Amino acid sequence: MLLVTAGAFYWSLSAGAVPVSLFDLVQGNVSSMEQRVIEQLRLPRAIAAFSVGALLAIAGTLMQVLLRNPLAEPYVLGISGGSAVGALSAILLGSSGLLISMGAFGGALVSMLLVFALSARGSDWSSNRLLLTGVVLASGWSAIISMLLLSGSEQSMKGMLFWLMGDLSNVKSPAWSIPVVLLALAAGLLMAPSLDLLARGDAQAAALGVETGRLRIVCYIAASMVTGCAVTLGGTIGFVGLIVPHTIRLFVGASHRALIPASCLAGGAFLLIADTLSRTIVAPTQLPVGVVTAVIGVPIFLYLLNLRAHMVR
Amino acid sequence: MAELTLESLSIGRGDKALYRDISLAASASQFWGILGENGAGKTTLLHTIARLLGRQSGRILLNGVEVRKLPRKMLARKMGVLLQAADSGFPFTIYESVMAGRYAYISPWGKPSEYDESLVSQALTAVGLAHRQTERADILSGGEQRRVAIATVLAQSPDVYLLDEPANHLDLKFQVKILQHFSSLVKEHKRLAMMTVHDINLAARFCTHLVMLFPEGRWLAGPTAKLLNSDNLSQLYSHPVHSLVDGGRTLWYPG
Repeated sequence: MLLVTAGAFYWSLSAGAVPVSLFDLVQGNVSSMEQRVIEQLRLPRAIAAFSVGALLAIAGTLMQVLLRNPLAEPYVLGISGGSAVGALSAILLGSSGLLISMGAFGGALVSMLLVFALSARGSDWSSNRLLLTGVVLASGWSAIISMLLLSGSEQSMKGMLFWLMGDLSNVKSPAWSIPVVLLALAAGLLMAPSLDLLARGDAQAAALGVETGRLRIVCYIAASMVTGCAVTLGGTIGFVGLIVPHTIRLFVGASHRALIPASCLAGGAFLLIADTLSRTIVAPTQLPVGVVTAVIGVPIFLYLLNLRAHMVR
Repeated sequence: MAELTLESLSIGRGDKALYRDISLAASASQFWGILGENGAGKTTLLHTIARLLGRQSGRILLNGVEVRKLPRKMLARKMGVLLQAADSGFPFTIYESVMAGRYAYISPWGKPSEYDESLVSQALTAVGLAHRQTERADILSGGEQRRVAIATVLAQSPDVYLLDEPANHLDLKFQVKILQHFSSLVKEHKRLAMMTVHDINLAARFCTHLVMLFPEGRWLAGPTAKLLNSDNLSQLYSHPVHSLVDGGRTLWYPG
C-alpha cells in the first residue's frame, strides 16, 4: 500500500504537459521553469489530492460504522450539501479562493450542528433516526443547490458545477491538510477498538463496555469535521468515501485498527491517480476529478464485489 | 463473589408498566431462570438489570453498588450479557468477534495479553469452534452465530452472566453442553447466572432459583424446588402443565 502511494506521488509529479523526471529534479538537472511547475503547481495539487482522498476514506469508514451500514458514505448526512450551499453562495456572490473555502467549511459546520440538534433529542440517538434526519436535510440542501445553480450567470454556473463535481485545480496552499490527515488518522485509531464493537450494534457494544452514547457523538463529530475539511479543499468529490473503505474491507477485514490506516492510504493514492488522470487523459482539457473517480471507481468496485461474492460461496 | 440485589424494581416497555416492585437477592453459586409467556417481560427484566434500557425505577445493586453509577467498562468486567439476537453485517472473523469480549480489559492502543488470548481460546473450545476461528462470523448459520456470541460472553468471564435464551437456535447436544458449562461455572467458580428460558425442562434441570413472571403483573421469585409445580406453571403459561416422573427426574409437559 505504501509502495502504491509512493508510485502514485511519483507519477502525479512527473506526468503532465511538461514531463519531468524526478531523478533530474533531485540532481538539479531541470530548468527553473520545470522546477516551478513542480513546486507551485503539481506538488500542492498532489498533496491536496492525497489529503482529500485520505480524509474522505477515513470519514467514509467512520460513517459506515456509525450508521451500521456498509453503504453509508461521508455525504449521506448532508455535510456536503451544507458545504455546497455555502460554497456556491460564495461563488454566486462573485467571490473566489479563500471565501469559497470559508463558505464551504461554514456550510459543513452548520449542517453538522443542524443534524445533531435535530436528531439528538432525548437519550435515544439511534442510527436510524440519525440517518433519516441527515438524509432529509441532505435533500433540503440539494433543493437549495438547484435554486442557486439556476439563479447564477452562465460563467458562475460553470464554476459551481466544477465545484460540485469536485475540482482540485484551484488549490493553492494545501499544507494545512497534512496535519489534518494525521489527526484524523490518530483519532480513528484511538476509536478503533470501540468502533469494532459499535459495528455489532449499540446494545452489544454497551454490554461489552463501550460508552455508546459518547462514542457515537465523538464519531459523528469526527466524521463530519473530516468530511468538512475534505470538501473545503476539493469540492464534493464522489465515490471515494463510499468505495474505498468498502473495497479495503474486502481485503483486510472489518477490524478498524487495520481498516482505518489502510483506507487512509488507499483513498489518498486512489484520488491522486484519479486526479493525475483527470488532467492528463484529455490534455489540455482538465476533467473534474469527480468524473474520473466515478468512471474508474464504479466498475472496479462492482467487479471486486462480485469476485468476493463468488469466493465466499 | 457476586451479589445481585433488586430493590423494588419496576420494569416496563415504552410507556407500559409490566411489573412493579420486584425485589430479590441473588448471589454467587446460584443459577436463576426467568420464566414467563411470550412478551411477559423476561428480556425486559434482563436488559433492565444490564442497564441496556434507559428508564427504571427502583434500584439494582451489584455487590452493594448501584449498577447505573458504574462506568460501562467497569460494569462489563463484572457483568456479561448474552443478547438474543447478534448481528453485525461487518465481516469480522470468529476470533475477532470472541476477542471483543475482552474489550473492557484491553487499552485502546494495547494488544490482547496472553491471558486474554487463553480465555478466548478456551471459550472457542467450549463452543466447539476452536478449529474455525479465522472464518468470517457474519456468514455462519444461526446456531453457529449463537455459539460465537456465547463464546464472547465466556471470554468476557464476568462474575454475573445474564443470558437471554442461551439455548435458542442450538442443537440438542449443544443446548445441554452449553448449559452444563454455565452450570459448572456457577458451581465450581462461584459465578452467578441468570437466564431467560422457554423450556421448562431445561430450567428444571439447571436452575437453582426461578423468577416467574405471570400475566397481569404478578411475579414470584425463589428456589426452584419451591416454585416449580403444576399450579404455578399452569397459571404462568395460561395452559395446563403436567408432570411425569421418570428415572428420578421430573419432566414437564403441556396438557
